Amino acid sequence: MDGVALRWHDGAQLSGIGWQIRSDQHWAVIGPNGAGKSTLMKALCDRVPLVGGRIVYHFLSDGAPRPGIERGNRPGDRIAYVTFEAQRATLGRESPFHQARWNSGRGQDAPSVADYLSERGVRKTNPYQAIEEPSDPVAFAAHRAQVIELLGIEALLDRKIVQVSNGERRKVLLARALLKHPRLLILDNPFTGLDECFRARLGAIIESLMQGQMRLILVTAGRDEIPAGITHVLLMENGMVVAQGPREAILHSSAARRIADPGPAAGCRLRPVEGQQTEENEKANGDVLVHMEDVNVSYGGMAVLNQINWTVRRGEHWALLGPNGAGKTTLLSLILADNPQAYANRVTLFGCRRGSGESIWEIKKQIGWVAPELHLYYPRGTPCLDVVCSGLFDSVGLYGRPSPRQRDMALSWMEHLAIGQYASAAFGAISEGEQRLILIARALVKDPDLLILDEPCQGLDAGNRDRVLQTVDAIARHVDGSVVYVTHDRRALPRIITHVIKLNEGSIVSQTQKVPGTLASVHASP
Amino acid sequence: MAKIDFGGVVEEVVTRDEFPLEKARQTLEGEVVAVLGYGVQGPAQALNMRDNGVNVIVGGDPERKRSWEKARQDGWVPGETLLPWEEAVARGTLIQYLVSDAAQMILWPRIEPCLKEGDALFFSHGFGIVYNDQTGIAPPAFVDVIMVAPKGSGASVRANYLAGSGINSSFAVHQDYTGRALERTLAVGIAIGSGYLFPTTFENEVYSDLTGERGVLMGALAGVMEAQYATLRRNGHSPSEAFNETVEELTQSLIRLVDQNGMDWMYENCSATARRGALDWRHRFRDAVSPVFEELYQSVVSGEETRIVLEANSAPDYKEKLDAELREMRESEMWRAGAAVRSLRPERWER
Repeated sequence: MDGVALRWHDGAQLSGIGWQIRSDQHWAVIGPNGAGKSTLMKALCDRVPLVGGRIVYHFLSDGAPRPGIERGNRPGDRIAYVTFEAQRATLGRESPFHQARWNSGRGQDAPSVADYLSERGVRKTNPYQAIEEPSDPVAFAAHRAQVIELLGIEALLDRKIVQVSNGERRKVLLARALLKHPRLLILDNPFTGLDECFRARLGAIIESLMQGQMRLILVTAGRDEIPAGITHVLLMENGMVVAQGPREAILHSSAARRIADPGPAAGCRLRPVEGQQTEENEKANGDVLVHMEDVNVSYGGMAVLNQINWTVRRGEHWALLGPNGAGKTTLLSLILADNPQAYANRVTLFGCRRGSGESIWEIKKQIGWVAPELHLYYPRGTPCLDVVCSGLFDSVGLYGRPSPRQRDMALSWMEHLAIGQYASAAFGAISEGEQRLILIARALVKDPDLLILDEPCQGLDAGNRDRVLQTVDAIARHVDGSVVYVTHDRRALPRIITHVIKLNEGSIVSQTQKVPGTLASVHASP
Repeated sequence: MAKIDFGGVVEEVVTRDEFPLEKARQTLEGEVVAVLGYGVQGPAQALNMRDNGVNVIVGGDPERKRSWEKARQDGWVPGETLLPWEEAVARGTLIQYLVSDAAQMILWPRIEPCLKEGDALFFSHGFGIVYNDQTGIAPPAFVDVIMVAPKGSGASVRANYLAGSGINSSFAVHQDYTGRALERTLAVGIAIGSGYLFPTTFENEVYSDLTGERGVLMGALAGVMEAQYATLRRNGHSPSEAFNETVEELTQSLIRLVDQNGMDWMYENCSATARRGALDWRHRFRDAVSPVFEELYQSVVSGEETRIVLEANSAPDYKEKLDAELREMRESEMWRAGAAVRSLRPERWER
């Protein structure tokens, strides 16, 4: 890359980027949220036009694409880019809203994981193209079987792609990228959202890929372990390359240290909250907020939750843990009133048995929620301040009219998370990590009794993650409610956690109490 | 009722402000809504009402495995909230008759004996009642007969509700036995997620609906497109070009302008050449089809359209004939060309 400049969505801008990737190198691209890392990757994949400078792809002249295995010889054909945002393309018409997973619909027509990983699904061959491109189905099938085994996703093949869990979908997207036989594989925050067991496996897969012909670029905002095979590091900040070079030199440079560890988040004092806190009725600690008795949830004969017995009392703060596909999000959907099977079970929320005449909006009013699904489904054109205000109405998109006081409250939460400057920006125009912060502000804006945080720190850099955790800790201490927190990252647990519940394959494996601040053993056992 | 000026004619419209959800729930307190039919409107309305705190049960046929299982997966419990037809009607106080038009006719003799004094018989389409000389659906005098017709598919009714918005609907009261038919109608309308409710009659709803679908919305639309496509092809234009100038540009670009700000807006945002010609030919096209529309409307009102539908639906080879007609359309050069044109759309360029 030579003097590359580009513009993206009237916002992000990169300028003066110079970068050389040699064939014996594997790179990591690091930097805080909003630095421009993903934008630069899009430019590399030839998906964003350049305003200045040029990119030369020397490897394309290495030889003609192998017929039937590699599709073409343009940059986009030989480079695979795996990101969170790419999951949106899998959702399609069958899944117009995030609750679709729990509502029976025209799911029969929805593509399965196997369809998605078929030759057509991978190559996106136009079925109307008259000239048959040479194809080698035997070679493809062999490679496909290999990739499926490598990632351990045999069990997912028959499932509809809209019904698999977040973590499972990440694996499927990775499989698809590998099936493209890319010369260059770009992984954007690949470890996030994956359970510990799979993270280790992925680490090994990445190491072995790096031994082969494929070159890798790893993009990360967090403090993920940078795999041993990475030889060079590119450090970005504010749309510019701050440093680039051999791994050790860059990681230990003062610039890297300054950017990666910005120190304690400044001014993390919680402003006195208006509204809810001036209520006359005292909320007794020990109130049961959530009670589930012998809860079973199944779809098409497949049991997703088995005999779940769980109680959450006001003042308790729970960590909900378990491997990908264990049933965590399904369990939360019962609390969020997103899952109609709650009516067929003994589920009591805020003292009211589900199905006794309450409306889902009364339930949602008391809950603040953030999750990867919400992030995937939120309309990209909504102005960020509206996104945050929509938390007051529990809507996806803003359909109500917030009062000036409500708008001020929303803005002050955004400023608290250091994203106030994006109030009028479109949701889709800011970086993935910044989008996540907007959604966290949306969850917090109504000061809910129950805060459900499903992997809130996915995609956040160290500084932002700390800010979020400190905020959650502060809220839990000042407000009379409960937090339910899901994560795979042992460093992303708030200190206030008092209880831990672990799920595996739809059943509860353990429920234990913890002294707040002592989480050393939380992730240790499976 | 809010008074809205529709092009110089003031009509009354019921809004959520005058009839909020709390009022709807109070009105429906003590009622058991039995939703018969779990196809498209059935699930949407039943799920929305239940999520709004209304006491809902679903009636169906355990032998029709697919819809029974679909209901079970949506949290309806067989024996408790998922029951066979007659039992659901017996237990319900407001019976939503949401099976298809043809099925309504067939099921009626089993449903009618189970209706009780003071029940409400609810429809989302006036077909069964208005053409009762052909359908045989003549409700007893001791029930309310009411309707709320959402202006959208079942999928949008549910999707919009869950997103936190809603859908607009029309409503009508055909028979008021209890003296409370209107408030029960509005309460259900709000409970299924309506935003604005437009008053109508069963007759007007059916006549406009049947005319619309045979006219601009589906019949006239397909006919006009085929005529233009054929004209272009006859005169040497390629299939892709003919399809682009007849369908693709409309659906991808122009109709969206009409959607946002009306036909005049679309005209204003086109070239001067396009605009001049369109303004002239608009009158010619309107005058050419006006007699056809009038003929269509009369055929709807007279019941002739209904007779045709019921006769076709009850023929033994109904499915084969229908499949053949749909296949003819699907395999026509025009619509196959269309599929190919769609495959080249920009959003599919992404590698």
